[in-house]
Amino acid sequence: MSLSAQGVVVFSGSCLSLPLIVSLQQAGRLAGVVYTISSQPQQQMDSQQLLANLQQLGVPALQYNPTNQDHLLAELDRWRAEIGVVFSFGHLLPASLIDFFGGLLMNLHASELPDFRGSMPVYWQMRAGYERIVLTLHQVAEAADSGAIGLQHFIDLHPFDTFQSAHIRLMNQAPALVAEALALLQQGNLQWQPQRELADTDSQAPAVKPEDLQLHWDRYSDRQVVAMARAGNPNFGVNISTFIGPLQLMQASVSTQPCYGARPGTVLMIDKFRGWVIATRDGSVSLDVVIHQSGYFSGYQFAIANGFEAGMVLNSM
Amino acid sequence: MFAKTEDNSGRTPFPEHAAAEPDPITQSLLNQSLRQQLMQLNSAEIPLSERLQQLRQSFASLTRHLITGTQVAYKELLQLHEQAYEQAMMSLQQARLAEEVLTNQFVHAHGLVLSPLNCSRTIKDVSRIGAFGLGLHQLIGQQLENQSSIHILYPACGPFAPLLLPLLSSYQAEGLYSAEQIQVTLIDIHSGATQALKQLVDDLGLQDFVRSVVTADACFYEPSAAVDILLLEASHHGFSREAHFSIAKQLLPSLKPEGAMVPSRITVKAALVKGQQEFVEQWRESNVDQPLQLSADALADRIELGDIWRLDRHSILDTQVLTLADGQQVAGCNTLAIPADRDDLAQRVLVIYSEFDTFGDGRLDQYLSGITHPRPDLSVCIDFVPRSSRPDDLLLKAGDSIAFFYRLTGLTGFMPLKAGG
Repeated sequence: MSLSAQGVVVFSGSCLSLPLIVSLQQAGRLAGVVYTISSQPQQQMDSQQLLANLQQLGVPALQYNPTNQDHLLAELDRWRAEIGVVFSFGHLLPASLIDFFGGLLMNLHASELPDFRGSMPVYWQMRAGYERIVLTLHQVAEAADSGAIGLQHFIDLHPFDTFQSAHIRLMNQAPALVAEALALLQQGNLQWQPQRELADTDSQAPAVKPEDLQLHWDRYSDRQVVAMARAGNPNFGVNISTFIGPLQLMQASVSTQPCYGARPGTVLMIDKFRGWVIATRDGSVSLDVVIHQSGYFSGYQFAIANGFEAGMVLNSM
Repeated sequence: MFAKTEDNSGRTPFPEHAAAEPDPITQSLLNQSLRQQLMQLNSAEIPLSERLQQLRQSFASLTRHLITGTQVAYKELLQLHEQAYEQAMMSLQQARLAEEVLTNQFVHAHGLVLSPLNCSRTIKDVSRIGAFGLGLHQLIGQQLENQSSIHILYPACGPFAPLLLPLLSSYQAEGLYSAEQIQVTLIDIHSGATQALKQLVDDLGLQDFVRSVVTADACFYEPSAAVDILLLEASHHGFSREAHFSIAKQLLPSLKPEGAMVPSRITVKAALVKGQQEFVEQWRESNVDQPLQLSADALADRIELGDIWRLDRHSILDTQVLTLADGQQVAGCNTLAIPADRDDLAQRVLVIYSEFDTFGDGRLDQYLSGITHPRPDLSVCIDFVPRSSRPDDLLLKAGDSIAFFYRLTGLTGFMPLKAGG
């Protein structure tokens, strides 16, 4: 088999991989897709949607079963898969699978590794205020996100990007990155560089826990609150405690309203055009969009409808 | 229409927005705030002359008993104030404020600025309007004994100027004083308040009494004419949140030497109370048809620490304002001692409350009005350490002294510190 005909198998559990799958199919390089169905409701919908698309595209597909690797390897052999690309898969892959591909099992990870290793790199980078995300293609090693790096593309985020729209940017960038990598492989020019040593300054990107989402007004700056909301939109939100119960903040923006020494969490202003403005540790933010059990609201409308007044202090858990 | 307006003094925080046509959201917000079937009637369906007559009668009835010396039961006063509120809200509706004006509220450099909607309810405060009305009426009588006309300045008056317009309505209805004798300048920082006020003054037929309605920050306002009476009430309970002190400090120099301020004195006091007794137990048997009064048991159970601050014309002018490194301004107040011989301090909460001597016989004691309710300060912990500490906790013990400072920037209020700490 010539290099140009090497079959590529995609490992994924998300529709994020669809543009990559389609581009490989159109290039005649797609051997098949190994998919996973998540047990988490939201992700489960995503993976079931992926499966439906695969069936519509007529793509050979196999559900991943971590307890039956022999069947998987036999199927990959049958597909004549020689290159594997892992994108939003959600499982660590075993040594037998890594060995099967002989160094050509590659993962797409959305950070400048080894910074932000973990399952939620986009969330934590957005929350940290990053305006550029690096999409990294690296070899899969037994330790997660630790293999040698082959290629990276930079993706600039729009200031209003959310967690979801950032992923859509990644989704759209993945085909070009993989196409370039395949071309370099074909030319024998893809250089694998070991990752640098992990530094104390490197961040981790673990799964998001409920306590990560709680807003402590005295702990965060105005920009951090805005970044938390962007990172949480639409999957997680930011939890705010109020006298009428919890709220989820989905969008916020930095306000120019002065605090005049008001303690963090104080309602500084309620205004139809300037919003529901709250004091933070170092400034103020407008709560632009909030979700309550009663519905989705602009911050202003929610505040007026529920009797919030300037001068009140929102609870801090 | 109301013709005499002034808008070039002080600072105007935002432009005036008026809806040419009734804004359905504004109407709905006003209806929500009334929660009464009255507003299910479209006020436009009530003949204008009838609405104005009802409004004028309702306002005049609030203070008529003060000038005639008749007795009116508290329960009846509650009904009269409710009627006046409903009529005033109809007038507010006629002012056709845009939604963004009606609901706008913010923390300002010197205090909280309420929305016209939120501060419309002051007119329902029977005791406040009674105490200020009585004091003001006695002062006006005294002032007019020595001169033919007086100038009253009323800053931070809100959309209904509730401490003055009922009294003027009573004077007009009873023919006691005329517009030649009393001239009024009304000031508010909120353009929605002044817009509503112009409508109300027109509706009450009090235009001749009103020299001008000014949209301005009273903390920077300089009156164009000397003032005989400065009428001012801008505070929440515990003398907090609003700009009362800063406004008084700015405007008192314009008061004539023989003039007077209403209230003539505000006394802010501190006490240590048992929260359950103070805020729950003593009110279990309270009668909604009577003004709230501190029970003898609760009073006996209190530990009164003394006066934090006594504000009158002279003490306000003499108060030194300190500017801190971050630009915030504070005023130093009294230092009060915590008793050393009590073993139940850990069960007690510090409360701060204000009482108003408006003038003459006019007095507003604690609990009689929303502004005289004791305000608990949970940051002060005496003889105990809170389970979940906060950065602004003040840990004290029996025998310590508390030095009080008054924050003048933003949300005003008292900041207790450990004396000598």
